[in-house]
Amino acid sequence: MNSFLQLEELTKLQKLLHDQSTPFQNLGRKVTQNFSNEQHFSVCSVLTIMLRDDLLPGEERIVALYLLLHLSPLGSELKTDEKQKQQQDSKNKKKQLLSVALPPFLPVLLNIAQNSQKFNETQFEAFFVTIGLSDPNSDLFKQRPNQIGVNNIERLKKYFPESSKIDLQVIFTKFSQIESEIPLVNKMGIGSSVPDPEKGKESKKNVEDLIQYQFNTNEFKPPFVRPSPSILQILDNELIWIDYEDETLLPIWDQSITNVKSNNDQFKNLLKKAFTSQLSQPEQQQIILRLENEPKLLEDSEITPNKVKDLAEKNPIISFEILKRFSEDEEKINRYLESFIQTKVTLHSMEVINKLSGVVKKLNQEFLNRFVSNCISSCREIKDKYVQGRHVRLVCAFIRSLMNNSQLDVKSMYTELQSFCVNFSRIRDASNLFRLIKNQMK
Amino acid sequence: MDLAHRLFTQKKFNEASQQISTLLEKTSGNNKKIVKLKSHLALCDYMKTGCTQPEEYLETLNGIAKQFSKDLTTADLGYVIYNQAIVNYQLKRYQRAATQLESLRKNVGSLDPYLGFEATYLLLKLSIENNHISQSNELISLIENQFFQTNTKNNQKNSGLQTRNQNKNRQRLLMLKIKLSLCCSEHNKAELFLNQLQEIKNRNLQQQKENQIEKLNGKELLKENLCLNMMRCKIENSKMNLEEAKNNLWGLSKMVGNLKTEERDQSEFWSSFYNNLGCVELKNNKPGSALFYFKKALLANSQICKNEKTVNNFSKDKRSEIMYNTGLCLILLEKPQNAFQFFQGALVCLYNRPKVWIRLAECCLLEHFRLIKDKEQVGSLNRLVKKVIGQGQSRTVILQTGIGPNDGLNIHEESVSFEDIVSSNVGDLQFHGIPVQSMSLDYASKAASNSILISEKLLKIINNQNQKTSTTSNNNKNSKIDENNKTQKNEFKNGNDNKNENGIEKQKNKEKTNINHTNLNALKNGKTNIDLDNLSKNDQSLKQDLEHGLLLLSYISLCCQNPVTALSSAKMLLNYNPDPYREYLANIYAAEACCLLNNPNLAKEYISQTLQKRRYQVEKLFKGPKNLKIMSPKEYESDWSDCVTLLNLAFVLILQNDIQTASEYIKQASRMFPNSPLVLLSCVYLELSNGNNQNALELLKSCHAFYPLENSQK
Repeated sequence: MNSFLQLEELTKLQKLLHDQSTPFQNLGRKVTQNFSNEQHFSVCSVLTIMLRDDLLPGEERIVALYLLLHLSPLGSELKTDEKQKQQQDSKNKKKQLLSVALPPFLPVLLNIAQNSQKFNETQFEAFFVTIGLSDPNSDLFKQRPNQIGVNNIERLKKYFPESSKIDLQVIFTKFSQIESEIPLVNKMGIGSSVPDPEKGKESKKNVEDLIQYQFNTNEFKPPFVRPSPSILQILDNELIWIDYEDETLLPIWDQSITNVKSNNDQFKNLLKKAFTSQLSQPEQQQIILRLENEPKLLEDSEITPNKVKDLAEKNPIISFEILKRFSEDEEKINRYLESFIQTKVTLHSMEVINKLSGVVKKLNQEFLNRFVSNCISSCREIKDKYVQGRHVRLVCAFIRSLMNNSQLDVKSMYTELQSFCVNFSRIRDASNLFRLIKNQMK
Repeated sequence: MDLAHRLFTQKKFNEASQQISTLLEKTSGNNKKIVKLKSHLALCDYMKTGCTQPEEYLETLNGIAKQFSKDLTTADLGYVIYNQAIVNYQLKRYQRAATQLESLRKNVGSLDPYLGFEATYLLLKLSIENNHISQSNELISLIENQFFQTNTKNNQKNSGLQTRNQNKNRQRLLMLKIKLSLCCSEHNKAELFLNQLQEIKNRNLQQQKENQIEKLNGKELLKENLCLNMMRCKIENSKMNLEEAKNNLWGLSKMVGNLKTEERDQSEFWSSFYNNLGCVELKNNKPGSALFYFKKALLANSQICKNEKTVNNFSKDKRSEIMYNTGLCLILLEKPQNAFQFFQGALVCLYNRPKVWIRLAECCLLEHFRLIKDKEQVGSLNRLVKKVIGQGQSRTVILQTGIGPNDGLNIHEESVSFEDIVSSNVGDLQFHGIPVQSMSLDYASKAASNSILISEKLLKIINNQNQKTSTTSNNNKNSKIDENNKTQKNEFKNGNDNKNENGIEKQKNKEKTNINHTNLNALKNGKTNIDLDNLSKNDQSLKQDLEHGLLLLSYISLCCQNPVTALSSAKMLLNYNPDPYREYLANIYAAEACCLLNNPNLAKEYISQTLQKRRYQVEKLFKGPKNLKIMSPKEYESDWSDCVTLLNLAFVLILQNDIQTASEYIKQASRMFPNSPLVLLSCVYLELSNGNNQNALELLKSCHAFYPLENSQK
């Protein structure tokens, strides 16, 4: 960050500006010796303020302009340029300059030089700057300031270069290009000092104060009002209330060795109960959940084919869940299904087989044929007409479901199915089934 | 094994450990048994050290889980996972604990009921602490269906011990139900549950007296009593019965104060007592008194820290929570610098709360306002004329210019020396090891970005949960829930959980990453991807946090001369449909950013938005505590918002070189607030830019308060 010059340094600078008897070039060397490179920006800022706010008498303004020209980095660009001027044509020079970034204080000098471009010959300072920009090593700067005098344009004219060593027009183009890219906001500022002459009082300038305040003040702009956001309201639940806890949570000892055992026992007991009586829904859910998580439990539970059949009568859902898990092993499932053939067909056994047909890809065909035959026979065995009718309707639904699931091979059972439908043709479901079978046979 | 267990319960950990080692040597092949033995061994070793080596214990458990995860199910590793979760919970790594418990909850049907209950209970506790209301409700119904309802029929068959455990668990669940009700501001429900709890406890006491069995000792009884009554005070405080809450709290303190000296190891009670008393006082608009109590709470809390460095004591250490409350107190007492330090301390555990970050950003801003205000008052004559220099013909007036980047708080953080970190004093309290970073606008913008990121994340989780609830009613609920769980899990994984575990350095890195993430993705687009329309009442405060974070970021970015972030965050805020006050400010900030980005046309559009709703009355819309003197008093005046709109519109018109219309707007503003320095500055600018220096000076002199020439030479 650039800090303002100390009072001593400011005095040093003012001394240099006062010095009218040392040649310009020597003054330039002195300013480089007296101020470090880091201070050059501050020196230039102070010189700019002095020039802008008219804080210097005419002869000192010329020195200030020279120092500004001397410290301006474009000066060094030009010097290099001169050394190489023999080798480079002017086209290349222009190109090179367009790619060079312009130093920050150049606008001040260009604004002054622009007046000379308009051939306003009364502008002494404009002439001086134009010479400085065009030829920094001009003989003019070997002169002492008091040799040149103020506003004596005639003396300057002999130093005015016949052909400018640098095309100022290129710099002006570059300058206007850069200026157009500066945001409007940055360009709207004006100087923050306003002269307010007071009548009847002795004039008293305080240059140091003026420079210091100007140095530390931004440009004056109209305000864009930015209301600050409010502090977020402290809501009731934002304050943290600390609950006084009466429990201490600690890692726990794994007692599940015994618990697992008892859990398994519990499962076995529940299954035992399922063979003999109907389970409540939560009990059924408990068994299903355990089976889902630990299918291996079935291996230890001593389930036999006959038991599964018994289970189907009391708890068909559990029976179905068990058979479903056995279905992957063909031999095993056939063994278990066999038990369904050896006993009387019931509503529950039909329900289990029906559900199974929905989840197992292909049930054993021989078993299915025999089971359907049993179903048909069971219809005939019922004497009560009403009960028989109901049973027939159920068997029809069962057979239809098997056909829908593509489990039943109708061809192999066609005769039997046909006679069943004909026998019970008085029941609408049977005649419907008959039509379905016929359609499928086509 | 039974012998080992007996030795463990008798706290003979060495013997238990030896016994288990012998069993382990003899066991081979049975993975389940090996897991149990190894986890028992780890537990004994952990308990042997007095729970002072949690990291080692966690490492061992991790090793066991990894080794057997291929062969065994989550249910088989249930105890290992639960013990990991409980240690993480005690170490305040809540997110990690929640993820572990969630995996157990999914398998709750196959867990042994004791573990199933404990895991779900802890998850519920965490869920309530994190204000996840819908998840908490789900967990409560799960616990009630899974562990209480189905067992009702078997209760009679259960042994006395089991019944007592279930009774105890019911009480624990009731306590959590009270907390949840208070989170939802359902005071009556909370009161009802508390009365139920009190009844159960009284009945138990009566039964114990009648049967003369297993009486609770005095200490346990007192603790239970204190816990229950502290909850009663919480309910009273929540109901704004502040006097009653205060009296009840003092009653409790007398109860503890009357204890014999050897029974008075109650630092935990005193820290919560003073903290809660501070909360009541702060609610009662007595920040000074509240600060006194919070300091006492911190002192009592430091006693817990001085005790043995066990995990249990660490979990009892509520420094972060008390520090947060203290910070709030200090904000109200207009001490943003001190508040900033306390909020930094609170970050250690509360880093995933957006409000802490918001408060940190606000502290920086308050300090920024204070410094600017000081600058305006010290070393300058008034708000219009900075200095009058010289005398007579050479007299020159230096005008005040706007607030520049070098005014107020520094933009960049200053490096903090090691000494600053290890011994930061806050008033008469000294804390060690608190990472105190210097206040800066840059830090404020980071804090605001973090608050945005966290609240966005939390809102996404809530969105997912809402989706989950809606899909539960559909038939295909299972698949949806899994998806959501996965999303949640990922959210948690990507979250800030590591901060607490890996120290402050990682926290800082994380912060930076977060900020990059926010800046790059969301802020760049200025678009939102969260549905904020269907939020419950409880989640509205989170939405408010998000909006406020964006507003702060936009403002701070302008202070830092970063119009790109300012514009994108203001745009993002406007997409969230904020309340009129924030909408008004966001439009102004966006307009200023557009001006800085050389787009006066767009700026005009944003200002027109505020013009269309010119009936904003800032006084009515102002949401913050009004008694803060640091804030400009102008901001509470009605019609000020209209004046601001006019001045800003004039500014944009000047940029567009439409000086005539600009001067009309400035005249309108001048009629509304003729003495406002900002209005006068605009008038002076117009005169000066037209070359009417004399008119400008007359304007300045017309208002003597802003041009005290008599004092100019002093």
